[in-house]
Amino acid sequence: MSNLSLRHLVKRYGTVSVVKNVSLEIAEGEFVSLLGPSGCGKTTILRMVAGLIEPSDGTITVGGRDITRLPPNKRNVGLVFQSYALFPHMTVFENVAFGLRRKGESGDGLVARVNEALSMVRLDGYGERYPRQLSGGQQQRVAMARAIAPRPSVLLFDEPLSNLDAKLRDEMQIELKRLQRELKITTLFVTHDQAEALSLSDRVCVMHDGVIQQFAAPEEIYHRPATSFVASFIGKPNHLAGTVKDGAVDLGDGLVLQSTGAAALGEGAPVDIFIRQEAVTLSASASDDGASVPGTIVLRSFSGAQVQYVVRLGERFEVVVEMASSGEGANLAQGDEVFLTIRPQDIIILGSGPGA
Amino acid sequence: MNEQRPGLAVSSLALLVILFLQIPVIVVMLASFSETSYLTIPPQGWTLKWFEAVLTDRTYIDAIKNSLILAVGSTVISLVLGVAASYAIFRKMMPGSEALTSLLMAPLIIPSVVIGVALLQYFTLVGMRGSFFVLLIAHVVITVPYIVRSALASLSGIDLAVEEAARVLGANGFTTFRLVTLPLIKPGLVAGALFSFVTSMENVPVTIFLAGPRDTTLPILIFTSVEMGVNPSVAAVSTLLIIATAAVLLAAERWTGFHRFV
Repeated sequence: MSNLSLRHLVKRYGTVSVVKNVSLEIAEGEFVSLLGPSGCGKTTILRMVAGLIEPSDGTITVGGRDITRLPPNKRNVGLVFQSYALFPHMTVFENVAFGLRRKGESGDGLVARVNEALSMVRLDGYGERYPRQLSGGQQQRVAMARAIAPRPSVLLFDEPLSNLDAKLRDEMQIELKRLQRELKITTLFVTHDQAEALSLSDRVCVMHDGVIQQFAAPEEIYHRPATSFVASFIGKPNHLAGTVKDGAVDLGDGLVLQSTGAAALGEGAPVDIFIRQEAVTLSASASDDGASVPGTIVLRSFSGAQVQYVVRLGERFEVVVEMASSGEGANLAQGDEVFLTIRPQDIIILGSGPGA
Repeated sequence: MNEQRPGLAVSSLALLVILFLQIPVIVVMLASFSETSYLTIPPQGWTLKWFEAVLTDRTYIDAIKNSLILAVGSTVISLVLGVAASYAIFRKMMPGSEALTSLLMAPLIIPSVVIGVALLQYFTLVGMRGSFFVLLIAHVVITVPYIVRSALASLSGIDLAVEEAARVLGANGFTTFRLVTLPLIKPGLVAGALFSFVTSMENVPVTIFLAGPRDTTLPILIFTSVEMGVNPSVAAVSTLLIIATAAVLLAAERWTGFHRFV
């Protein structure tokens, strides 16, 4: 068993808390991402799990074993650094062998396991090269091979893909996911890239300011964000504000949006609503069920598969709408009067104001 | 600004300065081959007898031996202490690292004569004056700044994550230092060790206060020989010293490309 569990983890520097009472249960073999803007404490948590930073409070256990106060070399974790941190004076083989040698592996067994690890990251035959002779992507693979070779009980990634260019990053993402599925190692992945977190993870833990905002499956994070922070951080949703009126959301200026969750928040409650760009449909006429609101197109921009519109709603709001460029509603022009239709269940609604 | 090769005037001037700086070396080397029993330029005739005289003279042999033991010994001790101190300073393992750095580097700035007098007084007070061990300590004091300087410079070039990677992969602190940190700072340390060696090898002002009669070093012997009256054997031993130093520097440059660390 090697489930990773963090209980009431706290890290203070002087009077500043960068991690505030974080508890997290990660099942054996699960892939969990810590997602958040820089300074949210995600890397600090990762480094505490690796033993490179000592927690001010709380416990870390792996498979039931308390490792909170163990030095990093006694923890049996694998860590892939953002900078790769390969040993520049050692060959690829020696880099990968480093952790195995520390475990007393030698001779044929060592060679076999190093080659196995190199083959998993598709670097067979690169053993005699030095890190400086490899490309960024290859160095990244060596760093991964080095981390997995000693068969750690927990694998940690610290923004490992952020130094790669976009195309290589996509390739490595797929590679990484395949590798993790194959090895079934409990994995904690730190990133500020939401697409990366959503596509790789079984569950995503969104953090802000040292506190967990939401810990859930990617779909749930995307469609049912628990807090305003998560709603605005994930995707690029339109943010509007209004009040609940007759079970719908009144935005003022005579604009009323039907929303499934509105009634539950109580009549007259101030609310924040978030609307995903792709959740809106534009059409020239109003829909029959009264679920559409009128607007004016102020900007159109074509970006290949999608067309983006900026639509003015009343006096106070502008929303960005994304439509498939092949479908209807792709040929609207600036200045057109249109109707916006949003399914009531697609509106993310959260109470605003104090206590929310 | 367009890049230009230095003009004729600048090149000639540079050449002149280099020649001027090297003249004493050339003079000494030429003089060591003279047949006369006094130093003279140009040398009168050619002979190797002064070299023979030096290499068969017990006083010179002992002095060379003392100097080598002292230079090697103080460099090794300075390496151990200097690297340990630099590492602690660099990793901010204790408060006051800046002050400690200044303290360790101070012998570079304080005039050697002052260090010599100070150490003489100190060792007299504690009753250790006149032993070879005292001389060794003194040479560690004057050579350790060179090690500290090059070690700190080399350490600042290492990615901290590389050490962390080793730790996470199961290496304890010492193993990490031995297998990762040390190999990475080695070229810098070689440069520092060379400076340390040469500094110890040529030192007069500190050594002269502390060396007992049986611990005479080569530079002290040369110094006193010159006081008593110059003969070409002094020039011969100087020539040997110059050639040995040049050979070591060349070898080190080949080996580590250490000019990058100076």
